[in-house]
Amino acid sequence: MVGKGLSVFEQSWWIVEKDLKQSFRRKRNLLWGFLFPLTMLLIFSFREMYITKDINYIIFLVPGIVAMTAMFASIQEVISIVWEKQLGTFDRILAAPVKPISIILGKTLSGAITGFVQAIIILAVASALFGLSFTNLWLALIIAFMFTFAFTGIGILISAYSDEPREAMFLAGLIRFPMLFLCGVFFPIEVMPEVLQIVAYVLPLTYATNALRAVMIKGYGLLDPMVAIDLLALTIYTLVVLSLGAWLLRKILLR
Amino acid sequence: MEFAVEAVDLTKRFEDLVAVDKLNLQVKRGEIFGLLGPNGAGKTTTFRMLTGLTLPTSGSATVAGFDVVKEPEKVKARIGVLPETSNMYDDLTAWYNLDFTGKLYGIPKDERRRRIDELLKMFQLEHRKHDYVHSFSKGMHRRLTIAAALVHNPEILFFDEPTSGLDAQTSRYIHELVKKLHEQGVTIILTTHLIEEADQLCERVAIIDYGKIVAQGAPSELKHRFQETEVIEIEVKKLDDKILQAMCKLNDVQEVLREANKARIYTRDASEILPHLVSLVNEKNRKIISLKTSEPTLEDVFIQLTGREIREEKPTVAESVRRRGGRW
Repeated sequence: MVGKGLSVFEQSWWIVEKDLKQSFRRKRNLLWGFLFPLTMLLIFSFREMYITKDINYIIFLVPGIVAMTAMFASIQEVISIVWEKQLGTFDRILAAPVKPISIILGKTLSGAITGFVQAIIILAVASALFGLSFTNLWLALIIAFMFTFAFTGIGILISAYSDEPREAMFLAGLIRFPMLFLCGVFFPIEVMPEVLQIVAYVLPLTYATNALRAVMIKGYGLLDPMVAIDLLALTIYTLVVLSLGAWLLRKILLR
Repeated sequence: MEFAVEAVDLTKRFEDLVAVDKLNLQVKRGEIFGLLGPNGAGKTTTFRMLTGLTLPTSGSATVAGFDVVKEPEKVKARIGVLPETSNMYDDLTAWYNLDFTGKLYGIPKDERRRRIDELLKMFQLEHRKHDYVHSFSKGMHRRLTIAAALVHNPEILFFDEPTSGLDAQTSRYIHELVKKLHEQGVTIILTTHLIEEADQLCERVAIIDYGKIVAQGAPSELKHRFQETEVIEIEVKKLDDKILQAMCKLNDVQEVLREANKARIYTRDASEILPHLVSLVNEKNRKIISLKTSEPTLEDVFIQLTGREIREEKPTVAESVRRRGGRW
């Protein structure tokens, strides 16, 4: 029996469904992924709540935390590729009549969806916790979904490069933590020395954080230059990283 | 389409290491074909190339009538693959694992569900279908992996070491299954390092070593080729290299292989050598624990073609490295 040929989209959707089922099963991992941004949020807002009693910092902080959550969760989800390579389960997918592009697309979508959902949860929790309300929420969500792809691209690059899970975890940390402190999540990048500011503008989290703040706090629209430039930079970044990652991964899949 | 599988000069190189070296192979439709060889001989790499999991460095292969490099999806849709180590998703249920596999093969929902029920029943996993796979025993794991390889009713099955590390009962079950699938007209290609398995199941075997096929034919044919040889198996207390070397120098001894305190001596005429052999051991003041002569088995063919040889020459460094069995 030869099954009917599936479209690339169908094939990748089955992979997404499988990945999400697995993620949901690992409830504890989901919890840890959620606890990390929450802890960061509480630590950094503690000073404002009890000393300066200035809610403005918390309002400044939340979009950054949301972008950060998306980054951590997307990369975390996508490097499951390395686990699958190690466990041999990747061969299950490769042995099936599935095009390499479907596998890459499926894994990309899994990463993007996971990052997006975790970002929404942290946004809801933070808003409820501090009684905040933000402007242009719909636009913020669309932007958040867009930038999870940039982070997923980084995760795919890491997965393609790493031979084993520990290496991937190390590389992921090496990329995520500097971004966390350089990209204006906790403080505006303008307070950093100029050299570090240049570095910040190479990193995608800067644009994600900027765009979210512009939309959620300042109420800018999609076509406002503040937002449009960030989104353009993110789009270019995503295209470059994703195609590079896809190309590398494709080569490695059939080694 | 004459052959289910045809490989022409199939080669795989990993950096400066040749895992499979200009391998030529033809498997007829509907037969059970065994690829026999020690660990690291290139069996798994050959399988990976034939099933589209690894691209060959050079050469070509046609499987189920399609080129593995040019039309991998068409090949994959027609074959079932059982990897050496079972690779189901541990954190998903048995049922979902099969369902996911069926989806990847593009089997429509109703047909997929029917087929999964049928397979779960066939492999006696029905009562555990909603359990997570990590709770399964090794034998159940293996059965589920085989079920997954059959979801799409493939024409050709690639079984990599199907019974390795399993208990006798599960092994027997798998052997019965292979025979049953064979009766249904499915072509089965299996790798094994177990001679009895190849002897029992396969209509034809190819013995592979260092990435090359060193002998090919029906098990009985291969044994026949060695029929002029007789085998003496002698067990000596504290067998050492000196005695082995002396044994090699006896007239008419073709080859001596050692396994712990046992030596297998290949010769044209056992009766001629036996007295010399006994006096040789006595001269050295050693005790013979057991002694017997036999016809060559498929194992002898295998050992003669691939095994450790004692004789004069020691294995080269390259050989010992290959013996360790790297990742190929």
